Amino acid sequence: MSEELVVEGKRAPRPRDPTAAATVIPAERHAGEAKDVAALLATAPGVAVQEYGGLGQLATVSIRGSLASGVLVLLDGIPLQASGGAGGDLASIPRHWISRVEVLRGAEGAYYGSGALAGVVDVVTARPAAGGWRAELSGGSFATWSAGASGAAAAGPWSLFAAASADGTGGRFPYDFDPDPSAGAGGTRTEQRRHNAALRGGLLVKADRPAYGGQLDLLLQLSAGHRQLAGSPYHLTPLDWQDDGRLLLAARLEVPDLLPGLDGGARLHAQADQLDLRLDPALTARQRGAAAGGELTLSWAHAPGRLRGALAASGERLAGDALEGGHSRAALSAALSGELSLGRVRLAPAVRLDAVGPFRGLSAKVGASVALAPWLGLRLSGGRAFRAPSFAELYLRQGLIDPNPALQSEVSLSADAALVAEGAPGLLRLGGFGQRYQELILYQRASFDRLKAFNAGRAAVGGLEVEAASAPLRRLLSATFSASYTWLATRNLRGTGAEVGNDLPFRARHRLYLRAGVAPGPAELHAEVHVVGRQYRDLANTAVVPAATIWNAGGSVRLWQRPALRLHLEVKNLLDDRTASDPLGNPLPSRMVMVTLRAGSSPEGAP
Amino acid sequence: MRTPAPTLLAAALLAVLLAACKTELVCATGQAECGGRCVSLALDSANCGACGNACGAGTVCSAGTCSACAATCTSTRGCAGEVCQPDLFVGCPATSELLPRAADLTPAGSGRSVTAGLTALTSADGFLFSASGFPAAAVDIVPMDPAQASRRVALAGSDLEGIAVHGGVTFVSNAATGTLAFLGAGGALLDELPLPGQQSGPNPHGITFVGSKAYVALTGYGPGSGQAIAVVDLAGLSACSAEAAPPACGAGDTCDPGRHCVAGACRLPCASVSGSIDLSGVAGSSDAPGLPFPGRLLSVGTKVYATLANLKIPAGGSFYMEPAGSGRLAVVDTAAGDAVSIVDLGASCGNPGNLALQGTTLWVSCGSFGYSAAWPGRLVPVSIAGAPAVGSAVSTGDVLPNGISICGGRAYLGDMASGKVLPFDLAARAAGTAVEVCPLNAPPGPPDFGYAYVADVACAP
Repeated sequence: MSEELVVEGKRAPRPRDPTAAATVIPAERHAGEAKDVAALLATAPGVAVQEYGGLGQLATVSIRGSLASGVLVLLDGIPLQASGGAGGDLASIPRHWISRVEVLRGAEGAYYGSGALAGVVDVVTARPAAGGWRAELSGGSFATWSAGASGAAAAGPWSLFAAASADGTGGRFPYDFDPDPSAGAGGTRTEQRRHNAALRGGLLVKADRPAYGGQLDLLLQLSAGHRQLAGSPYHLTPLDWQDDGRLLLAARLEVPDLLPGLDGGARLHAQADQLDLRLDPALTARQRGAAAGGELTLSWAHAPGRLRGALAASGERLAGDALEGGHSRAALSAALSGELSLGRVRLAPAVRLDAVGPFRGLSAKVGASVALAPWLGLRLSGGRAFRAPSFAELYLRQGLIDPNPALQSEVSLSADAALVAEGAPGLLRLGGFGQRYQELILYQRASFDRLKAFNAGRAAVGGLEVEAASAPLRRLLSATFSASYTWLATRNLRGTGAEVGNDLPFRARHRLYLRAGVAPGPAELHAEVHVVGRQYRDLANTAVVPAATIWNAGGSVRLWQRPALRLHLEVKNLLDDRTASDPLGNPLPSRMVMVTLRAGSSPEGAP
Repeated sequence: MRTPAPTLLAAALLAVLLAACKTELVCATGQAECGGRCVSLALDSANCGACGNACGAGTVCSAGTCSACAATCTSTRGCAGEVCQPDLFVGCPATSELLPRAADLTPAGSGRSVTAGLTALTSADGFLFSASGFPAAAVDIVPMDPAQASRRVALAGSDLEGIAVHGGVTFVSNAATGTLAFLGAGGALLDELPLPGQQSGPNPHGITFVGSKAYVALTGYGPGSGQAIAVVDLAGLSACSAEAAPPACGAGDTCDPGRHCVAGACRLPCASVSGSIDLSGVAGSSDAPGLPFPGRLLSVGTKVYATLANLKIPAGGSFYMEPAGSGRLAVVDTAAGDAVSIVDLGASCGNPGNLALQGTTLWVSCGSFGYSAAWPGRLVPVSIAGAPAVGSAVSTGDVLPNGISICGGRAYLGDMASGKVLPFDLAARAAGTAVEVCPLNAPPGPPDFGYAYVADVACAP
């Protein structure tokens, strides 16, 4: 089995949900390719990433047709505070920190609580062994650059790790501007995207030591960014910008064998985030968010499996100009989950009660895996999850937007099944799913010129998810191949007669990712393609967004063995499609060339 | 001596009377004798078209035939066949339909469905033309005859803010793309013209015409965008709209010189931008820190009248929404090199929306949805017999007019805060009783989910 195959199929150590529909994307697999969280996620099945302009601009993720708010985004297991505005923004997470991205698809509320309607994305940061180090420097098109360095050391009982990163882009790229877009033919001219720069920096410090027979982990994450907001090509906004920042502190203590077979754990976390948005000529939003919480867990290993219980308490606060002051709420949860092995069958039931301010929610899930053969397994699960309305939906009054304090929680029900074949030829996962979203919170027209949040959405989604990895010519050229494909059928269940039964907007029925690579000797070459099928812009399904195909290619060569030194060349949007745009009509970057020099100790940072 | 004379006279009179009763009944023109009575065979439901031909339940006699339409149609235009001919149409965005109404605002037929996001409505040549924006821009061309199918023309973007018909061509302001689209008969896209400052967000709205030029209000979004009126030369309009079968575009959308590729056809250009009239620099066009924000246009003779909303950003807000002061009227004298003068519509008029002409009086609708307490609904007359003279504003009560249309000498004001239409007697300068026309949209949903307002009112073509 190839190295690529191993990392593609590898699961996170002791996952919370042992039968989840999960994909783990190791960042190392794409090292040197200048891929951020959004780009890594886009390689997974069931996932749709929306990049609003690219190059450091807002990026969100949808799983199984969900809204972006229906995906819980975690950083090292800690929910990023979406209420503060930057939490769901994948571009706010520095890419140099990433060790792997774990994607869990389906209603995961029983394991992760409020917000995991359609799934969870957990960005796990690096944790190298003492003595390990690495550094990376990239530069390329559109004045885009990146620098990152990290190192690990031991100091007495402590293992220390620190990483710093900085990314920037001038953001100026050429694109095809169509002065008469309704005419739908020719007549475009090349324009330069301006006022589109972005700058981001971050610091990550980790420390761990033995404690009480177990391990104590400490974590500090600091990141801040500034981005210019270019606006639509038909309404440029040369004076608009946005600043965001986040401070996150966490401590975790894991103590095995408190009693025979009984493990204990405790976690504390605190975070603060800020978001300033300026829309010329008035400052629109200045938001300050804070959250803190703790969790106690007990895990009992028994003969046929494991039983885990957790109690958690947290509080969050959001204040801002458009929030009529500040709002706070407390959250409590109690969760119980188990694993039961019965021969070839493993069962994993879970239930969780959450109280988020005045909102109560019961989440549950039952999963099972069956070993049909040494190389073939079957995985099944079904669950229910909810999402409490955010502070923004409840209280934010901004521009034409009205809040709605009377909102209820969103609810989702999901069921899925997958066959997993794994052996010498490679890995193949083939799954199907059905998901129903109820009481979705959507901003709807409420009067002449006001939009207001309502529990107005209801949808059913079904589809297929295929994931494959193979190394058919490994002995010859260390060739590898991987692919993911999603067929997504969405159905709107609420609205006018012209809208009910139609596809949800911006939900492509087909999404395909293919990658092939060879690694002859010290060199490595790869090519990948993303195909996104036709989708609709509106619920009435009258406005079509055509299908799009984007090719990327790259390669690297080893310059030095120890310390490892490798030079990468990556070309994104190889065919230079200058017509690509995001759902808001903002152009996406044209062909982009990045050169990266990576150095590092072995094994961490090794090419 | 006794004489027989009185007796004989009475007998004679009786004989004359008896003789008279036996004479045939003579009916007035248009009437006929049925059962010894004079009746109108055209209108008498007991003798409709012929004596003894009684109309059934739910029908009345109209033009000699029993008509269900006539039984319900209160329009001044009556029925054509069995189709009630409404006096006006009310555009209802919440339910995406055009509702036909008689002059007294009673229903006059079935509603006509249009694309979601209705913003503007006009009528001409037996058709209604509606512009719809969010989430997908489209123009619906709706025949008056409900038996005929409507046509839907999709346009780029998601925000159409103005529509007008001139010379058989439909002009559409596409605010999302900063263009003016031209649709020919049947809805074919003839041309699309980028407007001045296209990439800065000109946000085109109202359209009017003087001679061979079109004037388009560029509302903009703030400083540096819009705040102007585009002047569009229509010299090529006749030629571009007359081509029934233009040649197809070549490979790579190429065309012969003088033509360009529009939706697969090599077409002649319909128009070109010949100028732009800046309003932000005109003294009195707004009150600092407000900006003019031109909205709707109306031409009278060689003059173009434009409503200026005069808006500012409210404290703590981010968009130009609050009236900075009284609304204004910009008067562009096209015969004097597009010279601009400003008319203050008075302290009663905030956020002027639309305007309509009756005789030599312009009627301007005013009122701010977000600031209705300070700037309630008003109708302001402006005499343009000589130099513009602003008359006393008239209250429109609870109705915040989202425009004004004058049909058959009577004004109608759609409400931006409800589904009501307010009839207004221009001669008496008095508002009538508002009538609920546009229903709430009521798909199954949350309890407080639903709204209604009136986007526009158009007189029946």
